[in-house]
Amino acid sequence: MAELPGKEEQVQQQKRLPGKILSPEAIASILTVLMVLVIWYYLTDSFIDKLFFPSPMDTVLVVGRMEGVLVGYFLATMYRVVVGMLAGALLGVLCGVAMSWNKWINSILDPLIEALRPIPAVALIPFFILWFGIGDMGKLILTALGGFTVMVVTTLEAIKHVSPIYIMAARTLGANRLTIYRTVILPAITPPLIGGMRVTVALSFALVIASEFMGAQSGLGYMIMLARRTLQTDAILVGVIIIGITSWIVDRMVRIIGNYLTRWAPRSD
Amino acid sequence: MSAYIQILNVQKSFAGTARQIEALRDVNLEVEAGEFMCLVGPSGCGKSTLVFIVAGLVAPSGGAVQVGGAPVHDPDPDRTVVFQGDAVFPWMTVAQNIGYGLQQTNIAKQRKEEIVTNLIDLVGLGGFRDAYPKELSGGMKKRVDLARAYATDPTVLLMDEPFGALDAITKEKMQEDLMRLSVTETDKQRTVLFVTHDLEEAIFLADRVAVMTSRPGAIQEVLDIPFPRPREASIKLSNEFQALRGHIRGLLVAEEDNEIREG
Ligand SMILES: Nc1ncnc2c1ncn2[C@@H]1O[C@H](COP(=O)(O)OP(=O)(O)O)[C@@H](O)[C@H]1O
Ligand SMILES: [Mg+2]
Repeated sequence: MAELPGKEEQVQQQKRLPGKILSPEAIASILTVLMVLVIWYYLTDSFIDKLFFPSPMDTVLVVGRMEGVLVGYFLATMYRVVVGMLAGALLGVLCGVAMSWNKWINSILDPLIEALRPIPAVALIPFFILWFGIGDMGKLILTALGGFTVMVVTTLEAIKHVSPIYIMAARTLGANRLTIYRTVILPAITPPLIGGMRVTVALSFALVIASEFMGAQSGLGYMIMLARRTLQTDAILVGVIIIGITSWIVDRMVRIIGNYLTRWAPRSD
Repeated sequence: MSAYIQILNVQKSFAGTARQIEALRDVNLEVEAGEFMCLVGPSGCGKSTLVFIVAGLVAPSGGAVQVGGAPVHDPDPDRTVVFQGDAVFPWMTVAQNIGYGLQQTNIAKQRKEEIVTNLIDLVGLGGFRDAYPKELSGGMKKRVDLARAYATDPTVLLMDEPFGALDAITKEKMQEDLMRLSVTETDKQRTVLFVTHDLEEAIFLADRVAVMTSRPGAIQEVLDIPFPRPREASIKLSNEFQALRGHIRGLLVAEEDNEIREG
């Protein structure tokens, strides 16, 4: 054990050496990315027809060409994702809490949720277009529905697994039911809710893009669909990359907020 | 005058997965006001169940519990519990945990702060006021739990194997702290029901020790512990102490034999 502090010092010194800002692991990751870019460039330059996959150059150039519409489409998609997701998640958590609070609310809502849960929300898109047209409303409701289902189930499961010892402790200290929900159940279920929220983010992007494929006049999914009709693979790829990056960023934000809210929780990392 | 805590013919059965589990059969026990009563018994004999019933967390299947002359139906901050497991809220800081019971009262904010600060000092967690439980050792967490149970200044304190999970040294230290606390003016009036399976702990702390039978639990004997308070740890080595320990051990071993024979 006496050696350990010495080793730690060594590691720290290594980190501080000039020219060694990046760890070997980080360099390995960067090399992977570069390799992919090189192979991509080489393949699209020689074997692969632009009709099937664009070259890196085309992809960069198309961004410049489309800049005007791109921002508008991006904002349209983000609006649908964020508003739909937040509304659905909030409603889901509220419903889950209400169902655990009162057995009547539970009995009334449970069959509805059970009927909804096994249906993939994408399967409902034709109905939503029929009912709400191809504007924002149908897409918002569809996305909210997806997030709602995930979060209501996550909330119910999480509340079921709150350790009874915390609830008993709160009761003996004079807390009433509302106080127990506010000060014990809500904090206790936050870690699993963050997990549910990350699933919701991924699902919301998928639902918005899918509904934009099927009927829309704006959005990244709409753009990809247009580009497919005119065989502009570079525009398709740009759309895909933007969706990937923003989805990653939103997930990252949920993780950062989640880590802050659960800063009290012991972690294994 | 009747006893402060009266446990009268208390029975408790649970609906198990296969069959009914009879946890308590006809428990009768009286604890006087200001008394420190230890409850010992084989594991699974229903000690925790009895604590929950006295706390008002669990309803008995039969019989009744009275505290201060009033029947117990619900939990009350006048009867706080230190649980067998770790019941410190991990999402609250040390100060928030200790102040939890006070937060449910109308006591002035400044007074709450005072009480919490005093308790933090009393249990020796001065530097950890704003620490989360994950930063504390098992012994420190148990101190938070104790302080939280003391904060509402209850007339009855129920402790369910509070030091069961601690290492021997930490445990002895906590027992001595508890002994010192038990002779202070406010604590002389507090009625304590302290569950343990550690016989030395029971004899060291208690005014009286109640010995339970194996499941279904009942009280088989209640012994007076004659040592004056405050007690030093060294009394554990005295002949009288060891004789009491031997006697209680004999009662529990006989129970275990019974249980094996009855299978
Ligand atoms: N909620 C419950 N449901 C079913 N059985 C229980 C429940 N709580 C306790 N028991 C059973 O009652 C008996 C006594 O439990 P407990 O009071 O925890 O014992 P002790 O604290 O003395 O170890 C055990 O056999 C236990 O399995
Ligand atoms: Mg127990």
